[in-house]
Amino acid sequence: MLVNERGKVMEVDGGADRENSNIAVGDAHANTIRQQFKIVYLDEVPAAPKRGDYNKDWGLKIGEPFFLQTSLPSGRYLDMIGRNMVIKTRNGYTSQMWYFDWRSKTIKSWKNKGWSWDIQNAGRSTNMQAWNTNSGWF
Amino acid sequence: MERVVEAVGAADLRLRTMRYAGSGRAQHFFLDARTQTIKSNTWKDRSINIEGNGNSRNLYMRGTNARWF
Repeated sequence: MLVNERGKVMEVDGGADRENSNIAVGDAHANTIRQQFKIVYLDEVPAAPKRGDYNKDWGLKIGEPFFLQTSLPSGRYLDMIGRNMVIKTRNGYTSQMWYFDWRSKTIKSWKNKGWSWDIQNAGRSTNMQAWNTNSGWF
Repeated sequence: MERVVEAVGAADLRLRTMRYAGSGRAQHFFLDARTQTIKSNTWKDRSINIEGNGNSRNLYMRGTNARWF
């Protein structure tokens, strides 16, 4: 715990483990995880990964383009029509190429590098598309 | 997923994804022995402070002063 001289303790506001959660103070409570922080010294911070490094958490190489081929008999490739994901015959266009982006932890379109895989309607649909990358998912 | 405290715009303190070595200085803090405060490594004239002279729950970065001790 990080405690000031009056016993106030630093905490993640509301205990919300989300990007951009506010930092606040509160009264100390035993075994309250929102009030617990680990000090990470700069020499312990990992180096930025390089293109081609294998990310074991995601099972993908960073920044390396790939195709996705369906196991259905046609063996067509994942592609986009507009922003919608479809399968199409291999055609050599970059709309059929994808890569793992370690910063956003999303799979991005090689053709439109500002677009990531996305479930339509903020995750409430069954349809997949490529949409502007944002950190909303995590 | 490792999140750390970040001083956003030299003011708000927020939880954000840890940046890798060589970047993300807004996420670096240090204990300043002279003022006995935790300072920002980017804005070395600012310390972690409780808003409203300690009467709020919100924490933010503010110009360092000796008032508390």
